[in-house]
Amino acid sequence: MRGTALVLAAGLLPAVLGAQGFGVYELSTCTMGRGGAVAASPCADGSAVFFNPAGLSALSGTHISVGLTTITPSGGFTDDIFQQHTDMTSQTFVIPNVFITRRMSDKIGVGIGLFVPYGLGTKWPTTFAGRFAGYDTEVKTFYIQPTVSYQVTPRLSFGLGIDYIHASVALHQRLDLSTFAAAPGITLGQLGIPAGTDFGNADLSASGNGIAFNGGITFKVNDQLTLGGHFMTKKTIHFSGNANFQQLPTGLVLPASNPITGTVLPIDQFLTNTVFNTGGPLANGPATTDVVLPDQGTIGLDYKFTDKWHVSADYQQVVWGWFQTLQVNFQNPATPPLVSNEYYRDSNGFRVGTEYQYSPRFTLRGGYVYNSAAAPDETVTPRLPEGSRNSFIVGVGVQLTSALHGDATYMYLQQNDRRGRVSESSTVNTGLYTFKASLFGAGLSYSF
Amino acid sequence: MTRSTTRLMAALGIVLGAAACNNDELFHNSTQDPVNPLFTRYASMGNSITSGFQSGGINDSTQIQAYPVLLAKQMHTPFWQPLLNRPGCTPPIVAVFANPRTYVGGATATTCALRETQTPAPPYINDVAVPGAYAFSVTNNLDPNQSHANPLTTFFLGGLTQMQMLKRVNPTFFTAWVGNNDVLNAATSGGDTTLITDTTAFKASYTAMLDSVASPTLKGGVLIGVANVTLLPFFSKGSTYFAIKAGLVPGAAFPPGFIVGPNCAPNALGGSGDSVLVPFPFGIPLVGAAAAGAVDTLKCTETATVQPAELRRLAATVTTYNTFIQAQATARGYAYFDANALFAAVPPGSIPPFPTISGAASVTAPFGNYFTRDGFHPSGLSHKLVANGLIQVINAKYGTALAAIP
Repeated sequence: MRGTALVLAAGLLPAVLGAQGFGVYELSTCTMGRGGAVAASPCADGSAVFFNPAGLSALSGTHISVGLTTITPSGGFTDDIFQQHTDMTSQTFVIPNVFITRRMSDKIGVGIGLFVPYGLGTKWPTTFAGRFAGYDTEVKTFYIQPTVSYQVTPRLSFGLGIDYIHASVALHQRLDLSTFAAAPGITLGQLGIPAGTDFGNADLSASGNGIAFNGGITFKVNDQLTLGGHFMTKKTIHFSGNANFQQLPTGLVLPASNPITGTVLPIDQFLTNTVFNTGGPLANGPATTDVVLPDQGTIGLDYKFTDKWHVSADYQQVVWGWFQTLQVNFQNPATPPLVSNEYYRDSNGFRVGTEYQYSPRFTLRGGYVYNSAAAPDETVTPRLPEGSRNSFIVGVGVQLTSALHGDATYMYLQQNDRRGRVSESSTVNTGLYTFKASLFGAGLSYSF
Repeated sequence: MTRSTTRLMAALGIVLGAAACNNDELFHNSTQDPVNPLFTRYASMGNSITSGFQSGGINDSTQIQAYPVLLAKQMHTPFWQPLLNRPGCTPPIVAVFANPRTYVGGATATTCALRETQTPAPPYINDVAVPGAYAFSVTNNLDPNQSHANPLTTFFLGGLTQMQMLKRVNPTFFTAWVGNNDVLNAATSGGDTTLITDTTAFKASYTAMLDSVASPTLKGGVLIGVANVTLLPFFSKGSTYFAIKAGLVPGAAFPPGFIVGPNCAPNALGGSGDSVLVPFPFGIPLVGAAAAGAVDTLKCTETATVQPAELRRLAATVTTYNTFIQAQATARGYAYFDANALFAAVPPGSIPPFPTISGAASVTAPFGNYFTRDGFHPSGLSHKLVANGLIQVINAKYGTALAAIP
């Protein structure tokens, strides 16, 4: 009776790794307003630290910028048969960013950024059929990236940053007694325990650190056209934390002649004595896992139609193909490691954006983003009901004083409806996930 | 912005808009929409017949032939069963008169396959019936004397009662074929009337069931009367044995060593054979032994047979039960269905008075086409008959338009 203990941890890492679904690219209000299509021509707020370190060479003086992005997702699941719809619990997340850059010489620029490229979470009612896959998943990360760029020629620049990453995750899910192993290869469901019998609540919190590198290049073809790209390396995060289990009453009493004991068996007492007891498979204890966050790269161009108007376009790929399986290890010897198949595939992002200098004081921006999904059809679950998505963006920049600049951006993200399932053990998709989000960004940038 | 640039942006917008519309859809077809809101959620209570028991066993093959499944299909309502892997638990009999008996998949009488892992997992079980259940069992599985729990009670309900599982369904419509075991187990146990559930106790259990099933969601139901023991080919009358032995039944004969006692003669000839029921597990082995050279006599006073007084008690109990059930149906606004009338009306000879014990038919259909190889449980043909009978009753009571099963 050990297998279900590990269902807990199965939910941990896909949430962390869901760069497409849980990834945050809105790390600068100005960049967000341009649809994130800034690889060839980053905004002047210092966000080049992340979006293309080579872009620091194009900045003069010193820039200090701070910003916030609020993200309000909403979505739900509708099952095929009853067409019963369950809404995700409403949440709003606030994602901060800070960038500081300085031009050290004609050829060298430096900077440091604090940003949150992974975050958010999903929350479902505890009555939702998918509660056994995860009803409350929260991911928090922050990256600190010191960066340097070097201008080789007036047309060609390079940049490189080193990321220190800290990530934490909290996962809450219910445990289904019917999936619990009664004997090797036999679940209690096969002995008659009804599917969807809550017998425990599992909470897992873990954190980890890692190092990555972020390099970039820009090349100015002529006065109108600039090309650029950046590449962030694959990085390994070692998560360690604790798994805590709380027993929930089932009220089940197996009658005489039952196949487990042959005599009347109060299930709750049985579980207390054999499963949640000290040393039992669901005793609280440490859990660890290693996760490889994949490479991602972006290439793009920026074309200046006039002195006041330019358009940019980026292509981004995240090599999610690295993420095929996941193994979680428990210190408790009664709890065997869990191997979960994820079968992610590389995802693509297409971004277009534009910026128009409406007046010396006002700058107008707009953009569009299309992302493909990383999760294949068979791993779209409540933890990460991810799919391809379209985002539409408008933004404005205001020169408040000669040194102070403000930006505001609104993004509407609409994910294409995606068929998925409410249980990892299901072999078919059983309904439709919907997801959308409203994002609002605001930032201030001080230059001197 | 130049005109050509404007056109470029417009074209881009169209392409992107088309991409945004490329959405998936629900897989929900019209056969999943109930033909009437009355049938939005249907649950069936009962025992072995309702669960799909056939030929002394049960597995996913027999379960899907059960009348509630057929009824649910006509209702176009989702319906989940506690499906058992093959060969089953217990596996159905293949050759009832073989020595030893053979079972599906080469299994034995003690083989017990586990529940299937259905995917996606059913949200609940609609067919909550459990083989061996009594009226009392519907609301209580734990009483050591009255619940008659068996391994299938756990396999099908996993610690819930039939009523508790039914409440998970939260049905708008239900059927209950409850009470057969309260009387028929006495019949199949040699007419041991001490095994009959007292009518007062039965009424109390049945009333408790009906009180519990009522809910604001429930809009209708059918109560099915218990089966008449004399209709089952599990039994042959003593007079039938007498007639075969006397050569009065064309094409039937017993071996010389098998003797039928004079008290098995028809009542008109001074015997009591018309009101003595001989269960086949008792009578046929005697015939078999005689065929092997032994000499034995069937006496219609054997304790293994159902004696006239016992038969009268059984029949009276069935009548009392069904009178009560019908009255409850009327009082509570449910339909009542008399399955006995249905089987009494099948073409003459369809339910053989004596099983076929030799030749191919002794394996394929020893008790005719309406009953399976245990002489007790209905065949798929009978389940269809029952389902169509229920459809008529439901349509008449509730003004619905359930289509008959062709």
